[in-house]
Amino acid sequence: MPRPHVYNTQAIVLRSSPLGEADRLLTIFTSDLGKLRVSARGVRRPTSKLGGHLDPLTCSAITVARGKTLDTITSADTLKSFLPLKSDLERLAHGLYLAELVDALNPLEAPNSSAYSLLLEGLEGLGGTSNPDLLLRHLELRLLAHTGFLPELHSCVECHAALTPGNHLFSPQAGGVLCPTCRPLHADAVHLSVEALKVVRYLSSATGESAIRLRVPKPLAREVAGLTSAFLRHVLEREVRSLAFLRLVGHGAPDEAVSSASS
Amino acid sequence: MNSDFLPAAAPVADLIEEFHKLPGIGSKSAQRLTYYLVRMPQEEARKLAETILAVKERIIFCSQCQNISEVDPCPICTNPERDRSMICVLEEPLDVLALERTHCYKGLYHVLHGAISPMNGIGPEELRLRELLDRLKDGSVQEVVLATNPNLEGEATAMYIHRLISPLIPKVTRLARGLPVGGDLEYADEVTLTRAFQGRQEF
Repeated sequence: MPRPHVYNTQAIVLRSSPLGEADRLLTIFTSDLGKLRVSARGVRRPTSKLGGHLDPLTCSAITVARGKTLDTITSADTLKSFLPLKSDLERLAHGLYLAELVDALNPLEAPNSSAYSLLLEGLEGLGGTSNPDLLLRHLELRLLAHTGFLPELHSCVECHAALTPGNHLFSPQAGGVLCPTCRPLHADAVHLSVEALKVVRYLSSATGESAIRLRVPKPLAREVAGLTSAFLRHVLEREVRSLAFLRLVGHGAPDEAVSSASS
Repeated sequence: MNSDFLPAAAPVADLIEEFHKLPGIGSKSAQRLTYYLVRMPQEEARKLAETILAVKERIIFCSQCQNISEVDPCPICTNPERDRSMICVLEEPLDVLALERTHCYKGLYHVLHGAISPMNGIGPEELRLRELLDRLKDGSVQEVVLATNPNLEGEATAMYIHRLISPLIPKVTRLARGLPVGGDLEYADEVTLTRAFQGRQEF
């Protein structure tokens, strides 16, 4: 889509890397133009008037001037700084993971306003919730839905047969749930419990507010987390890089709940 | 003139390629630098080459503070005037120079050589954190000043180190974040202003 020479938009900074003497190369997610790569001049100097408004995970109203190779941000004003998220290591790790997912699942210059709203609500929500892990599962699934990657969760993805309770599998390669008959078609198919399927279905359609009210016992949460991370790995064809840090600082570390798995 | 593309002589092309690998050097700058060197007197070129080699061969990391140095331990770590009960943790060796220029800090340093950047796959294990923990073991350090950059990665690094060392050290502090000298209040972002307000001091 052709952009005007100077345009105003609202954007959340996804990532930032040093460029030249004091500039930064930013990957931003805008409300109306999708993901863009822009430069911000001089922002690494302490007296820069833009710097503080363009830190990663900050939502700002920005003015961008079109350039030959890179567009340049000429003004920025913070709309939301998500301070509660940034002041807590564990929540911050969740926020960075979400930002990496939004970055990885959206191509450049493809407008996706629903993914933008989701990111905005997500960063807000992760800063305040007592269950950031569950909220993150919901955000992962909603993001997959908004980018067209949501796995099939209701009937067998191969033969479209209705699923019989307790007898279904999940295959990232196939892109959803499988019935036992179609299992041999996909080597990566793993057993999926009825509870986990119900949780995933609910999280993929509920609002963030109702998603975090769900009570999910730890072993079940782990099964759901395993499913979404295996599926994301398949879609992205790589590991989500922030996942290692999230696991390192998160309280819901996978090994903690082993003793409570009694079923 | 022949319109066919005339490749540069092999040594010239090689040098252009080497310059191109440096940060901030594009292909035009690389060509300009190379042709400047071609015209340079022999001795000057030799001196430049030797200086580059010297940096690689004579510079080592101080086993204490991990800063780059010619001797191990470095002059700052061996200086008897320095306050051994304080360690200031920094991201890069250049930050040591910046702080030394202020002449207001008399303690020791610790250089991490990076900051945590989960999205780029840089986790705590990529930083020189184990070396920092080793230095804190004997209990002589009373205060650790976290002076990582006041951006998201620096904050994440500071929070992580704080979590790691707060059981070991009586006092862990963070450099104040607030308004820069020569700045303008109206341009300050909310986070900076909030932090500046929280850190206000009595006249």
